[in-house]
Amino acid sequence: MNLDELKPLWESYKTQVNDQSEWSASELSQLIQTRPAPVLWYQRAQRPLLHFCVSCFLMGITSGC
Amino acid sequence: MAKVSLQEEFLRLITTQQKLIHSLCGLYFSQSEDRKDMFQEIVLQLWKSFPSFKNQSKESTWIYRIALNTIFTKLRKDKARPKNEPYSDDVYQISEATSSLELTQATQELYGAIEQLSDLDKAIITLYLEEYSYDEIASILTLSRTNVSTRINRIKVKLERLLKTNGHEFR
Repeated sequence: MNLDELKPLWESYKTQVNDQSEWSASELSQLIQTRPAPVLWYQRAQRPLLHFCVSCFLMGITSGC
Repeated sequence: MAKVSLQEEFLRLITTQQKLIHSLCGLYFSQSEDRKDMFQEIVLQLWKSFPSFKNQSKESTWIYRIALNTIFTKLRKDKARPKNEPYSDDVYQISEATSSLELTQATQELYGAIEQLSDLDKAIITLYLEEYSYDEIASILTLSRTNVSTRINRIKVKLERLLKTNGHEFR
């Protein structure tokens, strides 16, 4: 079986499901009343900083410091 | 002002791309109320992470990644929940009345076949049918490329068997 043959059927499925479930812009707007909390600069840097600290720690203990 | 433009931008994106979310909700949840709840949950998760979305990936890729994560989290929670709560007859009546999607016969056969796959396989075949490459699928689902390739071959065999039992013939 060639899976690509199913692509038109998949498109048809998406259209039919969307026709039955579609939300209007006003309904969506009501759903997202509150603004998402902004991602602060230090939150973006948290993971790289953690990686850096762990690397330093590992280098420290493996080099005998 | 910034709030309005952020909101408008997000609404424009979801209005045009909501088809993707509905198609996923339809595959993973058979009850219309569950589908609706999951749609809301996904939209809220997307809204929460929208400020950090900087077009590093395609909009649809970003939506699929968050939608699938949200769905898998919900499914994990549901599986962990004890299943010994008794239901009343009313609940069954409501379920029967609101469960099914109205689909044409050919589409229903495809839906029925995909619905029988495992949760992860459903995600893989969805992304494949959306014309994502093996590498992109692997990246979205945090799998290896080899794993994706092997699974797609198995899915192909399963779907062929399931669709043939429904009378479909593919080359």
